[in-house]
Amino acid sequence: MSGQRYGGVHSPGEAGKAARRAETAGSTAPGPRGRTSPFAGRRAMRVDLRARLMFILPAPLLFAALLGIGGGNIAATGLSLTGFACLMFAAWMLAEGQKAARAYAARAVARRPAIPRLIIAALASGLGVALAQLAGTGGPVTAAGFGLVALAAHVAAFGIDPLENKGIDLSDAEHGRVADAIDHAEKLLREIHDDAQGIGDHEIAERVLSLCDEVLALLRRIEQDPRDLTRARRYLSVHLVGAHEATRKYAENHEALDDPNLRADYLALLSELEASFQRGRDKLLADDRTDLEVEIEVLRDRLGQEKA
Amino acid sequence: MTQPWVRWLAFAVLAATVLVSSCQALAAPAGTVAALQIVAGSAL
Repeated sequence: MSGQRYGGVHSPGEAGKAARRAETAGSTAPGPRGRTSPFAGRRAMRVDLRARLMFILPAPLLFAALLGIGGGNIAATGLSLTGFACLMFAAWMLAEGQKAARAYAARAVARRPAIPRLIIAALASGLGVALAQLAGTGGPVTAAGFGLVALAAHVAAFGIDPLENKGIDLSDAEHGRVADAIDHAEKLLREIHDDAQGIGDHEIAERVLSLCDEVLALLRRIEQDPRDLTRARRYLSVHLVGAHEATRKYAENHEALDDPNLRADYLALLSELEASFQRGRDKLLADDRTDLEVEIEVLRDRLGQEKA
Repeated sequence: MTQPWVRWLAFAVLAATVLVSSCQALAAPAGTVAALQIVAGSAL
């Protein structure tokens, strides 16, 4: 297998120059082999510092609980521990809620999150702060006041979950069908990508990335116009599942079998699948063109009849 | 859409309420006595 030159924006020589040119041209510019980055069109996972801090801030409560155990104060210990648990749960719900909200924002068609995690996080924060106050010196009124302030501040700082489905006007069932199909396809893609990386073969990893690009382009197209799902179902249900199975089996068996023909067959399959997804995307575009042409023809006929 | 500075301000309020409440629980008389007892116990 031939070696390949690598180079980043800070690399010296030609590799660095090429990388700098690519960066100047924009992050979505095709790479040296004309391929866009994997999972193009998706936002990178962002780590929210504020959400992370919510895991650290209640730490004194844990120490208070430990000291309560040392002092034999059961009530204070119980309140501190429950308050700590509530605040940790709130921080976890917040992180999960932000993840779900980002996934929702990145999609053209999406269902609202099934569990309102950010709202639950705000309520748990309020409860946790109120319990911490009770464990300290605060009376019930102060505790309730602090709890309400924490709840309101949480909602203002992190917002609430999306409460409505997003996308073009579709019935609930149809909406769910499209979102489920895209979710499922993306899950399969992630698994294919992970299996291919695990094989440890640079050429296979590259080819699988290239295939992922094609499939993602098809998925983005379906997101833009979910009516394409019916036309593209064959690609997602047969071809993608086939690619997933083949990659999994190759990853499991390639070392034990150690057969160069097997590798060649697998690479050929990847090429065929990539070409097939490319054809699928072209066909969707062609169908759209036909639909438009038919619509124009019908309108022209109608205008002609009105003139007559 | 909420302005970013409002979000940061709200976060500061939230962080302050959580931190102050937690520290008050830690510094409550029972907690302080227990802390002193532990420190004294370990010193002895």
